[in-house]
Amino acid sequence: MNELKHLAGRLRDAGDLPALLGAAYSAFEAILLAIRGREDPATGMFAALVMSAASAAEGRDTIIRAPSLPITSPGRATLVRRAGEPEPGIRDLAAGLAQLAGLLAEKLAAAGQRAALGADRDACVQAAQCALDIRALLGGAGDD
Amino acid sequence: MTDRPVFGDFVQAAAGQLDATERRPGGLTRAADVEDTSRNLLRLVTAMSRCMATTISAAGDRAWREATAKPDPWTRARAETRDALDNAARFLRQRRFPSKGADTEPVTADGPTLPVARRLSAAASSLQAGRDLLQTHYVVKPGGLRENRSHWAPAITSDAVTAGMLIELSALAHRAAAQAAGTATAPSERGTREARRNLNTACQWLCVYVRAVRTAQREAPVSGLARTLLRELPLNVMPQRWVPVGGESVAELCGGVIDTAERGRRLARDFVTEAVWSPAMNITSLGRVAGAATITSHNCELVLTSLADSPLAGRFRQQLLGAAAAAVCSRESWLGVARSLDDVTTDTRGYLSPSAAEINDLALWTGRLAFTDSDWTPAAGPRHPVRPASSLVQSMDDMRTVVSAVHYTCDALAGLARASRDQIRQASRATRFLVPTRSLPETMEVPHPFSPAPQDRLGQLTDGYGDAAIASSRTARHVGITAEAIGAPSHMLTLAREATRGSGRVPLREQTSAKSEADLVVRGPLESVLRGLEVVDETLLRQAALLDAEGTRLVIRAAESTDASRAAPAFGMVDPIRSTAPVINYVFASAEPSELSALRPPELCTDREAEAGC
Repeated sequence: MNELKHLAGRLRDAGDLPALLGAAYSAFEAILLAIRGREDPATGMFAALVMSAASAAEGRDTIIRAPSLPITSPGRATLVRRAGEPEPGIRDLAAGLAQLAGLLAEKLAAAGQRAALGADRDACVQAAQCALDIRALLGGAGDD
Repeated sequence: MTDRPVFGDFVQAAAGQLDATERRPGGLTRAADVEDTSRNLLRLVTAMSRCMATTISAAGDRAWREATAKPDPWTRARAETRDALDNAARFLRQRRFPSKGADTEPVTADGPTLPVARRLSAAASSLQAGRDLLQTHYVVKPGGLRENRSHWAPAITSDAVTAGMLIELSALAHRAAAQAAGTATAPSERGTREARRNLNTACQWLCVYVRAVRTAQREAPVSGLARTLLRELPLNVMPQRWVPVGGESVAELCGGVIDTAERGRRLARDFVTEAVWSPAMNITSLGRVAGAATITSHNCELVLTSLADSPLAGRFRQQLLGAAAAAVCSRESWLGVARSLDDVTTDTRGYLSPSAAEINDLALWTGRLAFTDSDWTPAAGPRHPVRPASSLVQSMDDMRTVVSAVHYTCDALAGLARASRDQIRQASRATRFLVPTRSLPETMEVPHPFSPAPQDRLGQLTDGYGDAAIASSRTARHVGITAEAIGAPSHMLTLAREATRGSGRVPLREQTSAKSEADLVVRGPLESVLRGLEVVDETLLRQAALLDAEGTRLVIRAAESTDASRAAPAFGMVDPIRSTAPVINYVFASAEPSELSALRPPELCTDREAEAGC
């Protein structure tokens, strides 16, 4: 969960488009990695997690196609759960991922409006849609 | 299960026409009536030939042409029945006023006037429509080669269905011969002798057809299931797309599941050839398909488990639980595919292929069947209880409906996995799969965001789809066992698969049912008269049968001696009268192949020779 907070911080702190794209890439990859291995049919979140993973992979691929994404932006190294950090319950995890996806959608949509290059604009808009899908899928995690 | 017409509808209609009886109009049979009857019998014979051709594959055709000295009974029956129909058609074409299109077109806008001719005409039209239905499962390429267009197509050309077709047609041939021989042997106007003789000889060839099938059936019985499968072959049309709107009944949900599964399977199959170039062949579609198939497998598991909880499950409970366990394996295989896709991408993205849209719908339909929430979507929160058995099924009919829906779904998922694997193979030949360079080891310095996907990753991917296909097929097989045990309509899927796999060995599992065998019994004229008088005394019936057999031997001996002293074949020249035609027909329906030479048509003019004044 700390990792998710860290990624949310990176998104908020991104000062320019390349930084935001780098943070978005990391966020999508983190969502994907967080879900993989946790798709447990017994939790009642199975379908939502499976489809969220597809959307996360889709969002990540979209960001990679943005021309302004730095080729050297942080990759896998920052995406591993830190040692010693307790594994969250699936509902908490889903709620956390939904929150991160919401922030991601908001930041990407705003960046899409400001981007100078058409390809950057398209990537931001489409990735924002992927993030919105994830939020919609996982947003019900806290519902009773 | 679906509203689509099936082949059996048309065969049944044809048989119904030929079973009808009307009083023959009084007076002498006119030449035009004989002409009408011959023309419409020819239409029926032509439709029968076409039906046979539809069920015989190029490989099967080659097998009987190249058959060695002792072909198997059904290979021999194919050859003999084809020969019989050819000969019947040749006699029927020897009419006074043959015209273009006479083999297929009704005689006039008003149709024939004689009841027998009307019945033959209606039967021919029904059978031709049935043949057209079978033909929808194929597309004929410019070179004349047939290409399968549905998953039923391989079953249609299987040995079992081919044998089923011969049996089905022999029942029609028997009825048609009985009807048309009546016209040939009725008191007639002068000048109709040759036409009646040709008509009667054609009827005798239809009896030869019946005999050939009966012999094969006796030597290598084909299960009644082969006929059942043939009759249940549906019209190959794309079902209409349904999207659940909420509040559907279980029966409506099952209908939506079946139609959507069928659409998804079909679209995926059709898309294989487009995978090389289509922008819709992309990581977005593949990811959605894998995710939706994972969820659909999970939903199937939940439905099967609920069904097992039903008091109606009874002795099928264990089978249902076995199928649910298989669905778990299927779910895990599809999940493995979804994970493999995380590591690759494609040259295009963002478009959703038609089959991906359908499989998304299928996840929704099955989800609404599995959960109580009638508005269920994957985004539903964790609190969505599974539909209890009492809400799912209240009768065995409900059980059959739901099991069929799950069966169709699992079968479609297996087809989808195979089609997806083929799509990937096609696309990878065009180097359409890429990997983000970020996912490559850091030692590989690539100054671009993407590079072509390494072969090992593509290999993993196709292996994953192969596993999913195996697991989904296994689930479908498990569900199929239950479907068959409870008589669910979807058990046709299992029959079709068994028939396809059995190509090369004819019989499906069971022996012929007594009913289907009885359909083929050809009784002698004396026995028929006694039965017509409603005589039930077994001794009398047996005596009549013995006399019929003795009569047969007498006719054969007479034919042999006559044949030896004549240039022209014997029976083709017999002038049929009311008393001799049934005897002759019976002889040929019960005689050995060696006697058939007596029925060979005379050397008929070819069209070219006829034009030259032959």
